[in-house]
Amino acid sequence: MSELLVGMVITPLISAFLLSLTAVSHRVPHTVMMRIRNTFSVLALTALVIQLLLLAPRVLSGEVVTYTLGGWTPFMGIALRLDALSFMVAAVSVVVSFLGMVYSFSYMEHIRGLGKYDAFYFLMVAGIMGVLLTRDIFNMYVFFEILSISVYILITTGEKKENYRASLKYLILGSVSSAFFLFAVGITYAITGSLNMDHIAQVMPAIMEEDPFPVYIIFSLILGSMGVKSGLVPLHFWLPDAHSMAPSPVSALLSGIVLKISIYGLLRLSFLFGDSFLASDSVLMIVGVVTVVVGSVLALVQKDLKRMLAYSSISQVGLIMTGLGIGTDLAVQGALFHVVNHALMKSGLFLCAGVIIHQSRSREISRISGVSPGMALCFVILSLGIVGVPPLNGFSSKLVILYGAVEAHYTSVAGVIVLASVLSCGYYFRVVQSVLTPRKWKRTYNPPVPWTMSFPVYFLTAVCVFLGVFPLLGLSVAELAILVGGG
Amino acid sequence: MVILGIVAVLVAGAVMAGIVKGRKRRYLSLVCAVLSLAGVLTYADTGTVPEVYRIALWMNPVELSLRVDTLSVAFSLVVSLLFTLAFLYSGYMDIGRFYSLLLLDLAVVLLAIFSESVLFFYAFLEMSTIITYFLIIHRGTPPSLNAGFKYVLMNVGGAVLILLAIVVKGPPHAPILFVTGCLVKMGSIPFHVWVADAHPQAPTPVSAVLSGAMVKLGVYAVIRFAPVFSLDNSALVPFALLSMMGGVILALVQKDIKKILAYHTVSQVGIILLGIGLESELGYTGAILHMINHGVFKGLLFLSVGCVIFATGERNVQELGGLLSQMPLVGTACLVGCLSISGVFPFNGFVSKTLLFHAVPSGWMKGVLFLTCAGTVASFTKLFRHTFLGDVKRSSQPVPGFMKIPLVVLSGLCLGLGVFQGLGGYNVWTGSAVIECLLMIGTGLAIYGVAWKMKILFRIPEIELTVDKFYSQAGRSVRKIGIALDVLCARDINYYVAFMVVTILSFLFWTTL
Amino acid sequence: MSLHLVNGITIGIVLFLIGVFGCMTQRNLIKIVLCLDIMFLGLILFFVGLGYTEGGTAPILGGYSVYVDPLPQTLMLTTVVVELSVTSLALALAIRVYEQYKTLDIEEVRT
Repeated sequence: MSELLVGMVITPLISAFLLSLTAVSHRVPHTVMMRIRNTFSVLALTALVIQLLLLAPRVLSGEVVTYTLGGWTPFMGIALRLDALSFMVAAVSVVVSFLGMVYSFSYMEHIRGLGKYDAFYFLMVAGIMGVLLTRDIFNMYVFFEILSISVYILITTGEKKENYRASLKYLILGSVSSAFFLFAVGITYAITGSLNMDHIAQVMPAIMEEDPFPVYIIFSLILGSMGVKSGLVPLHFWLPDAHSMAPSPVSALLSGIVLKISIYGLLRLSFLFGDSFLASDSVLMIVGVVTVVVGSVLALVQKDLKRMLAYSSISQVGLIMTGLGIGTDLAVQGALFHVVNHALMKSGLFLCAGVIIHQSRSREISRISGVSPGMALCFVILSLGIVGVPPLNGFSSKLVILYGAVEAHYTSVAGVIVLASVLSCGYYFRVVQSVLTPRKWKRTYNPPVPWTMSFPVYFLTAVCVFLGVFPLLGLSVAELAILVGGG
Repeated sequence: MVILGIVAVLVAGAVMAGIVKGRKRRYLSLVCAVLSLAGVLTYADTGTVPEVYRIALWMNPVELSLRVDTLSVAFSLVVSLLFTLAFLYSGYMDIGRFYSLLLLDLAVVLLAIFSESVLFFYAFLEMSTIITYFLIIHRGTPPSLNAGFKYVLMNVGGAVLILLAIVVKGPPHAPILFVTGCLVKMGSIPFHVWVADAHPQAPTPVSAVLSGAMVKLGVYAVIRFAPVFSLDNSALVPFALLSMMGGVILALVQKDIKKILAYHTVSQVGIILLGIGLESELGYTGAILHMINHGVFKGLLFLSVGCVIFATGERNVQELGGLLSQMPLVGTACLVGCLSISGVFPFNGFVSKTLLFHAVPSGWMKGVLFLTCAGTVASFTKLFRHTFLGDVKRSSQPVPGFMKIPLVVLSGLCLGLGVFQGLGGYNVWTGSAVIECLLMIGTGLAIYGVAWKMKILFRIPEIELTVDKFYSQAGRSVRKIGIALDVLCARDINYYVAFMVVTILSFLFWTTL
Repeated sequence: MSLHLVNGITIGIVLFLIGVFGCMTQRNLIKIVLCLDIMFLGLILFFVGLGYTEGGTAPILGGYSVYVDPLPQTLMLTTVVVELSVTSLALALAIRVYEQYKTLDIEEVRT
């Protein structure tokens, strides 16, 4: 059963390899090739879903599934592990990447013709799964690099100069942050003599007592590098460019999943330093609050729809970080639930934005018009979810974070979160206004929206409403994740 | 579980109204609204003992509890009546999502009224805020979009303050937050900006509902949930007095008829708030009664004024005139509304105003209330005179019958509630009350006369713009900060890497500290 | 084990810091990419230095009492591969940027 863990990393990796082979062959007609690629991608992602579903009952009953590669003892070899925390993020990632792939069938049709898009898409999924499953910090670094490199390439698929610029900016900043991460890994190895997370967590208290300074260095480096990858405020500069320049399905994955993977990484690595290391210094909470405010204010002044969504992501990541930084069980539970919720909502919004831009042929918020009613409804529901209007899922997680903040006597933090939702109301309703306006100009040709593009948006909207009406579905998994994941 | 049945019917109706086409939509929604009214009426015999229903929700940490008592039933009756009449009235605007949204709004507002816990009240309040936003921007013109934007920002702001109060749950912060949130929702004076914008821009049935139901939800929240936050009601008095006087003065100088009515909503809400702030039983009774009465006569006024706007296409009072001969029924209905809001006997406004007048203890507060009432008389003299009397300035098209039925119903209610208001043995029909009333009318007419002579009736004063300016300035400065930050963020990669290093060093510094 | 100041660890850290400093000061995209390389070079040296033992030999066959820790070296093989791909991608992107902007100066590439 635990061999499935290897399968979950290997499946997308092999798919990426096989799909890259399809770019070489020229004998097969283009349409046939496309059909082969589509079928193959769907099959690979279905396999991933099935693997997750097979493991779901065991994980959700609170069990931790571990597999050690090559039969080495866990402290020596690389271990893969799926617990409730990684399962939660992995489930969302697989669902969103499935929907993103379906969306790209028609959205990215001419670019996918080259075959490289599919290959790097699956490489990205492999990176995501690897980061989620691995228990070895160097291995985590490698998977982060796999993930990042494929993302750099996916951003360039638009093949405009802004794409190259955004990608290069992301590459340089991302590599510097990876270097910091690697440096942290090196110091960890130097002081603990191990790369396995369990082992490090075991020896860490003794080292902390003896001389905490190296541990502080490690923590700062990890917080810094994960902060860059997840877009915390003084480190967020690459994010708006990359997220708005990438093609919409890739933006959806970047904002929805890749940011959450970095948050997961930070959370997972913070367990190395003991249970409540994140909370003991309020540094993460303060950075989170700053991120919430600055992200919201910046989102307010954006003219470009996708850029606005990217800044909104920054602000929501700040909210999650605030929840993690508060550190009480309730706040962390809310933050984890918000990880899931924001992943679903924001990827839905980016996919929806793709359709909206397609229909109104403009990325500028003030010039959006003529959106079909179904898409407009989805956009309204999803953005209300981010604003935190009941009964949508964003409300429940925000409420839990608020309760957590007040419980920990951070009333002013709760005030800032509430203020941020008013600001988010400000920037989302500007778009909602334009989305509702009928088409401003006459056009004989109305671009059709194929079902592959509309279905993912409808599906994500439905999931968001469902999770909002029945919040315990998500909250109980988040609770389990705290119980099992801590350690 | 009649309430759940009502909600189910309304939601089903909303979905159906989105599907069916043409006229059927209107009949369907009308039937749903009438059904909901009938459903609420089954609770009409509720005694003084409140009934509480608890419903466990699947996969929810909290259970929904509904509380049926005299207050909630009375308020929900007014609300569902207003919505039903709004459906009847809105036959002239036949656009798809309007009916669905209005039905959903009714369902949500009813749930908010009946919900026992503050959290669920907040949830339904917020939902109704959002739904109402889409109703306000229904026309889609730039002014209505702006009004809607202001409405949604301020009301979501108010609602989240209530949410924060719920989460904080205890003095010293929670009562302040709760009251501020409610004051925003009810459009009391420092937060009245959205009222003056949203009411005129919304379609007429929506304005009626907005004034009769949505604004009252804020007042209702204070009445209902003040004990939860151990609220000191007397803190409301300054806001009440400010809204009363300010609303009347601002109404007195407006040109737009709907804006006059909107500012009167502000002032009447102030009167209700004063009744609550007095903390006496008489004051409470008067406030609740006035809340219900105001729903009725303000609905009547909005709907009749809507008929005028429908017939002439003109909202400026100065451009109107002599309409009484052309539409006698609308004119009479409007007159009933004017008399009722001015507190003239034997209409319902008289009863509740007299009650409140008797409840006010001190001399100067009584004076303010008296002046407010007199100002109301003056302002409605202006409205009625310039719209229905004098020379005919505009040609008008006939008003269809379905728009007149609501006027008749509401006029009847104004009279009926005035004559047969059950007051639990308290008698308002005394000689002194009638004399007070006559005195008030006299003062009101005198104010009107003086203002007319001094030609200040149609001059929009600076003060209105100043408060508005404050909010727009706040918005603009947030925007300026944003732009400055945006410029600050646009740098070279060198700076970004430097930022990264500095941030990591400061993390290090912080943790070692 | 003697404490030389000049060993893999210190030189690695110094190289790493030089690379970071370069990223903070260089105006040319190619130079920034080179500085990235220097950073990773420093890291590789740092890791190898971690595993180094004075007088140790490669642990290929058994029978040695003093041997070098092989784990960092194997890890660095992976890092070299990763770094290679990052550099090649960065250079490819730099070429594309140059094609589009006709310059490699980051100040002009900004907008």
